[in-house]
Amino acid sequence: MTQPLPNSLSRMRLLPLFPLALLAMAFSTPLAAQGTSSWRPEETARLQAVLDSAVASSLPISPLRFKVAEGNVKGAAPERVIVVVRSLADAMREARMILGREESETELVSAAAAIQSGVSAETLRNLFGSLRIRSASTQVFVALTDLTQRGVPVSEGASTLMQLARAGAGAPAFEQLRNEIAIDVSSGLAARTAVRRRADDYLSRGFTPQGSVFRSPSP
Amino acid sequence: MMSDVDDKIAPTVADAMRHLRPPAEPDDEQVAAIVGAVRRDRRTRLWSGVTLAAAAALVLMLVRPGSRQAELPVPDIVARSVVFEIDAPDAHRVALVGDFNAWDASAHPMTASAGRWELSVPLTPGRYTYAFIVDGESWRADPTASLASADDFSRPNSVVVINPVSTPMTSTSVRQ
Repeated sequence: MTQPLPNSLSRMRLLPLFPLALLAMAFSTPLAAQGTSSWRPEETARLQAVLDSAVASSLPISPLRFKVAEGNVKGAAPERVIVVVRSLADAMREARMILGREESETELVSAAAAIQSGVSAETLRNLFGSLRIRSASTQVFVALTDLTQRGVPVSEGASTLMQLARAGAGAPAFEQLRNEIAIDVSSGLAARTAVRRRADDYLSRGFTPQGSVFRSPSP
Repeated sequence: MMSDVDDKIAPTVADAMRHLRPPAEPDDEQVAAIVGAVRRDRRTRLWSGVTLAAAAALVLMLVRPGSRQAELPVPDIVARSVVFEIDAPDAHRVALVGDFNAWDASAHPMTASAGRWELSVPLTPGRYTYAFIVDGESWRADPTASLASADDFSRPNSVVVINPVSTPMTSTSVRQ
């Protein structure tokens, strides 16, 4: 007859499962917290299936939950919310194929947003590949989405951003571009004109090793 | 020489010794059970050791920025104060909603000064979608920020990206 292990050792067996338990707790936030308490059970179940599928694919869940909360506060019908959340999950899966497994959640969501705004996977892959400073990926994806939303054709916006990326533009430069285009557009300039002018200006000034735009034209 | 006490004890011990049996040899089943228990104990200790070693390594990597930064990104949890502003001179109330407050319209009411509504919110690095709700019904994007992807719910959104501390921010609305 064997003696059972002491309780302390039995508990130690569970230690490797502790991180998994934490993850499970993080993912098991009740959907009601996102404002779905008034949904019908079958709607909640369908949404939960989308979230479970995302968890199974190791996708981050918080962007999907934010989307649910956004849909609810904007008064969208549950059916619409489910469609939008599924679409975001699909875009994140596609983005992951492009970025690889080392991407951050911010990069992934930014790339997914670009895909949802109509940027093809090939364009996104080329843009990502043109970056000399890898940490600029989030800013460049957000910039491309912004340009697309402002009516700049995807091919034109992507081509300009790739030009900047190859010249050494980093996150600060792309962020500056986004901010300045927003100002230009709000003062009445067309987005296509604004992006071309700003990009030409940046290229003439050059970039620091950290990816910022030089304050004055490079000698 | 034995004392009286020894004389009294000695026979008692001797009697007891006579009743003791030599230790019995364990049979094969008992040996197998003992070996199994020891092995399970070793495996448990090994798992515990591996877990503790992994936790220690993680802690070391997190508390030693610089040495392994190139291989493993250190979580950047330093929040920056981001000032959100919007002009709405006729509004009675404006709320800021977004990913950072789970789109809770009551979480971040803005304050007005001469028709300009303003609010400072600490945000950790990341990408956040947000919008303004004017007087509880009118949704407005931030005119000074980038637009979010095609709006899914027929209301405009803006995007703010908070760079890690190692990356400088160029936006004037970010106060460190």
